[in-house]
Order: sequence, then C-alpha cells, then structure tokens
Amino acid sequence: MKKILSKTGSFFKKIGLWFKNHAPTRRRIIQLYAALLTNANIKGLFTGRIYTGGTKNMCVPGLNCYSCPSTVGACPLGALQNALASSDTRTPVFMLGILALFGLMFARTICGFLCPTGLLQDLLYKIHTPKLKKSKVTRILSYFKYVLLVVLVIAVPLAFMFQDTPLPAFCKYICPSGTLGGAVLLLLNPANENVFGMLGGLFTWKFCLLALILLASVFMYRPFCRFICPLGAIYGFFNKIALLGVKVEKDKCVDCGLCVAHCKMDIKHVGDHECINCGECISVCPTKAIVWKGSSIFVKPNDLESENTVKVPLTNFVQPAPAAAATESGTVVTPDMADMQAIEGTAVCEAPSLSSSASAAAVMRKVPRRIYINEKGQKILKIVAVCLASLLLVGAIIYYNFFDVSAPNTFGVVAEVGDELPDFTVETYSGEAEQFTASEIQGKVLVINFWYTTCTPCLEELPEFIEAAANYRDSATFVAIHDVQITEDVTAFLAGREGNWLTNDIIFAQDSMQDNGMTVFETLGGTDYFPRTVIVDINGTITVCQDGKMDYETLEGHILDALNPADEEQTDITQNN
Amino acid sequence: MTPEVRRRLHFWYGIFMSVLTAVVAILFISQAADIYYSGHEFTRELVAERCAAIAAPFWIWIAAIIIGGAVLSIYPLEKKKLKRLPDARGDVNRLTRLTAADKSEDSEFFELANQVHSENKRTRIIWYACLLICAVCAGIILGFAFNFEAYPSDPNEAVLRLVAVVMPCCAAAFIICCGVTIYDAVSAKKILPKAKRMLALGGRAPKENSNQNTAQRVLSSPLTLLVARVVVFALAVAFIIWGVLNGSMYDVFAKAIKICTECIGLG
Repeated sequence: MKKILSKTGSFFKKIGLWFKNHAPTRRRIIQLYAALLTNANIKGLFTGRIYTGGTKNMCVPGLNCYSCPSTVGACPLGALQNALASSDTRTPVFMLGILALFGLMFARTICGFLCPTGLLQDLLYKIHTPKLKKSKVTRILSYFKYVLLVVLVIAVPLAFMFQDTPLPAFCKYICPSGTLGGAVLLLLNPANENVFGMLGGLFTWKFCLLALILLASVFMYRPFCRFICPLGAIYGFFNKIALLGVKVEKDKCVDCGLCVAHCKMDIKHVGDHECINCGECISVCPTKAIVWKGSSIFVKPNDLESENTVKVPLTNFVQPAPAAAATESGTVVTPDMADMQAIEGTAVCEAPSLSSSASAAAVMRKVPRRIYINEKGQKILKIVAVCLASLLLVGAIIYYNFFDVSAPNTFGVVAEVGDELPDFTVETYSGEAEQFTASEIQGKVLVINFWYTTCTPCLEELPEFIEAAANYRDSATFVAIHDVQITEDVTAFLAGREGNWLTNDIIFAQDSMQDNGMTVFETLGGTDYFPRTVIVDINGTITVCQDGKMDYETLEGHILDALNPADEEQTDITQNN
Repeated sequence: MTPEVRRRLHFWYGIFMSVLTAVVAILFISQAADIYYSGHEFTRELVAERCAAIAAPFWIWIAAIIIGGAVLSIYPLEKKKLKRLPDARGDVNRLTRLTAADKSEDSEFFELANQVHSENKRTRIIWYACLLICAVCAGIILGFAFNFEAYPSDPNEAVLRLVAVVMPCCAAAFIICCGVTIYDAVSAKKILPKAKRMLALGGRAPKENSNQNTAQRVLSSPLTLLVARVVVFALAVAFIIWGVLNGSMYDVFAKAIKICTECIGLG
C-alpha cells in the first residue's frame, strides 16, 4: 500500500513538474491577453457582424483586420492605406501620428508581444517539424518587406488616389489577417451565407496565399513578420528610439555572439530593425549584458551608489582617481565633464578619503542618486499591474458583449426578395427634388445601390450603373444611397468625379433612420457588406438583393427581368445565394 | 528511454508531421483552386462538401499535433549547446583591429598585411558594385511605382504590371546580394588564417582605439536619444490632434465600420 501511495505521489509530482516546465511564459500570456483585448467583441463571432462602435476610431497596435467580427479597433496598416488613398481631400496626419506614437512607445515590441498575427505564427512554429534556420540569405530576403511597404502600401494607394478610386493594395492582395480574421471567420457564420456568392478569383488567390503563409510558419519562424509585413517594417525604424524594448549594455558585452545565434529573427545585433524585442536573448547572455530598457529601476544599486551616490571616472586603468577636494558640506564630488572626454570609461570606485594635504582638484560636480524600486515595491507594482490588466480585460469583454449600444438594430422587420418594397424617404444630393420617396416610383423598375466614398468596388461599379441609368432612363429609376459620411464631403466628392456625378441620371442620396428605427440599408437586409444592390420590379416587389460588385451585363439582365415580371409561378426571383 | 531512441522518435515524428502538414495545406489549396477553375460558384454547400472530403487528414493532423506534442514534451531532447554563428568576415575584421600595425620590419608580417589589405579592398569594391546594382533596381522600382500617370484604371492590371517589373528587379538584387555574400564568406575564410598569423606575429595593439569621431559620439549620446524621442513624441501628438480636427480620425472610423468586400479579399 505504501509503495502504491509513494508511486502515485511521485507520478503526480512528475505531472506537476511537467506543467511547471511547460507553463506558458510571461510573453505568451501577454500575447494571449493582447489578442483577447483587441478582439473583445466575442459576440461578433456568433452574430457574424463586425463591431461599429466608438473604439473603431482608434487603431490596435498590431496587424488585426478591422473586418474581423471580434476586433474592436481599426488596423493601422489598412487605415494608413485608406488615409493615403484619401490624401487629396485630407492630409493623412492622424495615421502618421498614431504610427509615430506606437513606434516611439513600443516599436517592434508590438510584433513580439501585441500582434495576433505574430502569435498565430508563434503557435504554428511550435509544431514539431524540421525547421529552416535563418541565414545570410534570409537576412537579405527580410528587406523584401520594405519593397512591399513602398509599392503596395504607399505607391499604389497614392496612384489610385489620382484616379479617384481608393485602393488599399496590401489589404486587397496580400494581407492574411483580412483573409483569416475577416473573410474566413465571416464565412464560417451561417448568417453570412450570402457572402459566398461574392467569392471568386481574388478570394482563391488570397486563400492560397494564407495557406502558404501558415504552412511556412510551421517550418520557419514568423515568415510573414520577417519577409512580408510592412507594419513591422515601419515599426523597425523606431526600434532604436523606442521607450520599450531590449538593449545591450556595452560595458558588459563581450561580443560572444550567443544572442544573435539564439535569436530566430534575422538580426545582426540585438535591438536592430529586425529585432522584435521578444527578450529571449536575455536568458542566454552569459554576462547579463542584455536588459529591458528602463529596467535599471529594479536593479539594486551597490553600496557606494546608495551612500554617496557618486560616479568617479577613472583616468586610466592603473592610476587611482585624483584625490577629491573636500567641500564645506563634506560631500565628495567628481571631476568635470571636460576631463572625462579623454577618459576611457566611468566606474564606481571607492570614494577617495579626504586629505588635508590634497592638491587643488579640477572643477567638480555632483551626480544624483539613481531611482530604485525595492523588492517589496516591485511585488506591489506587479500585483497592481496584474489587477489593472485583469480589470481592463474583464471590463472590455463585459462592455463589448453586454453593454455596447452601437450594435445594429436587428429587431425591425427586414425586407427580403419577394417582399413588397417598404416605403422610405431619404435626402438627396442630386436630382430635382430635395427628397426621394420610394412610394412615388410607380410602374418603373427601381434600382437601389448602397455605397460609400472610400469603398473601392462601389466606385468601380457606379460608372456602370450611371451608364445603365442613362440607357434605361424611361423605364427605370436609379438611386445610390450613401452610408456614413457627412453631407458636405459627399457633395464635394460627387462633384469632383469625372463627369460630375451630381448631374447624371442617378439620384444620389444619404441614408438615414426611418420610422421603423432602422436605416434604409438595414431595412433592405444590408449587414456590413458594400456595395449592395436591391432591384424592385414594376409591381413594387423586390427581385434582387445582392452584396458585392455587379457588372453591367448582370445589372442589365436583372433590369430586363424586373421590367417583365412573369406570373407568380414563372417569376424568376433572384437572390444572391 | 535512451537518448538515442528519443532522438530517433523526435526525428521520425518531425518527418511525419512535415509530410502531413504539407499534405493538409496542399489539400486546402487544391480544393479552393479546383472550385474556382472548375467554374462552379462558391456556395456554402459546395464548400462544406469539399471540406468534408478533406476532413479526415485534417483531423489526423490535429490529433498528431496534440498527441505527438504531449509525448515529445514528456521525452524531450537534450538542449544543444549554443555556439556563436560562423562569421569569418567578422572574425577577420576583429582580428585586424586587434593586431598591432607597427611591425613593418617583419617581412612576413608585411606580406600578410598586404595580402589581407588587398583582399579586403577587392571585397569592398565588390560590395560597392552590389550596392550600385541594388540602387539601380530600387530606382527602377521607384520610378515605375511612382509613375502615377502610367497606371491603368483596372487595379488588377496595375498590380500585375507592377509585379512584372518589381519582381525581376527584386530577384536580380537578391541574386546579386546572395552571390556577393557567398564571395565575401569564401574570401574571408581564405584570409582568416593570414589574419591569425598576423596577430601572432604582430601582437596585440596596446589599446583598442575606441575613440569615436564627433559625429558618432553625437549620434550615440543619450542627449541625442532624448532629443529624438521628444521630437517624435511632439510630432505624434501634434499630428493626432491635427488629425482629430481635420477629420482624418473620422476617416479611420468610417472605413472600419463597413466591410469593403474586395478590400478583405471577398471578390
């Protein structure tokens, strides 16, 4: 019995030891915490709707697509591209300021601690396979992300700004966060079944690219961060001046190279533009030369520092420090800075004893005491930080999931294909009347297009809608309803379009809240996707509800169908999926 | 379990996971490509059907990760001792810096010094040539990317044209850099024994000259760091306030609360 008990005890001891050795590191906990905090809108995963509240004014620090249903902030890279694409109307200073602030505070510590995309790659790298080690070739390859930054993030959006078509090229063609966090997560929700109809070549390309990046992450460390991510490229510029991060204390470093050997990123030395400040090199440094910036406040000063708080420079390695002159107060002072320029380094040494026969010394100055937080203070600080962080996370989850008032109204009746068009009234930007009322359109096809000024596919399809409006002027009415923009901007935007869109056959209008407590977009089944087209036949019955871009041929086909609605049994009711 | 058996377990598990991971990834990619190229429309039912077809290898992969990960963590391998990464060029530079330079009477030392110096000079010229080629490639890329008038109106066409210019330039620069890196490493390995011999003959320099010139001193001083931080902080705050006032913060919000379908690859 005793033997069984002792064997059981040692077994559980081994289990406990195993858990202790494999417990998540502090860095992993912070990464998980940051991923959860920036994706606190958990209910979005169940509803399939993205968060639309006030915190979307702010950017999260890492690469986390705004279209992810759970994310509560905007993506800095996407916001930067959109800001550049709109820089003809507004100087994109807000995004530049945000990036500068994040860079100054954290730089690439964001990559190492706060980015969900980096966390995903870290977790995939843990799968046990042979790994492709870094080399001089991967170091050269790591400069490719600067090419992507210049070409896809800066040049292409600016180029298409001159064509009045916003194009966030990196988001559209490359970004795996948008594909995984946005497209895939939205598609997994049954509420977004209509989204499947939009999928085509672009989605296929992005999905394949996502799969390749995830596959590469299993075999090499953070391939996206090292070779592709333009956000990491931007933050890398700030690594030297950032407030947080790792640094090497030159006086302790013996240049053994173990930090570079241990690091899985393509660094040349710790703290350069490739360093993600993960801190894993700190434990391998034999001389403890690598420390966190600002961590000296947790290091206990030695006895000399705590007493007289002087730093006495050495003139050379052999001669003792010059005898200090005694002052009236009895404190010891140090040689002047001008002398220190010729001196190799400074070190703390014994305060020289006061001697009455000491020759007159050079001009002296006092050095202030170093700030130090003792062990008790550190413990208190840790407890306070953990409590505040936990409160913040719990508070965020409770707020976003139970008290958020920005969620779209889902209680009203939503019109679908086959229903009669509910009446609505909107203010117009163009056309003869100041208002447009749906019930005034009788015996004509009504084409309603929902768009907004920074939506690329919206702006690509609208010229085709304008052409269709001109061709079917007598038999169809086209109204393009804008969402979420101040009135003046839309008017100026429309006037600035080629051919002045205020003067063509489409009635441009602004969406607003209707009597049923919903906007027109919501009333006609719109969720988060733009553009959206609703076509109503001559009998006032909705025949088409489509999310995504619609080309001229498809539009024309729907218009002709709506012009000739057959009997009820023969009606070809079209709904996008 | 003996270390040899553990080593074999880790090795074969690694091979198995590599193959299985690659197979699962290829299956997902091939299914997506097949749906697109077969001309079928993406529908929920079709995607579910295709996912069901590859569900078995996917779940086997998940199970292998969990079980294998648990087993390997119970029987871990010994950690390899860390060694400095081989860097012949760095070693040559360091040895050259440490060597005393005043041994002009020793003919062997003089000859070695000449050889090392001429090899270094040759390598430096090759690096400058590489830099020049990279600059030319960068110039071509920038010139093409920022030639806004030449962009076609179709975004796909524009990006494809960019790819057709940017990728060859990047490839050329990459190949040149790799070639020069290899040459540098080979050359450094050749002269490393000579540098060691020089140090043996000439002895160590009395004091490593660590005096920086004024520019280096200014750039590495704490005051410069403080000034840079203050300037960046001031600019950041000013830009943010300006952005709130001029409405560019609202642009961030307006974009982030509606899904532009093609912007996230739904197209």
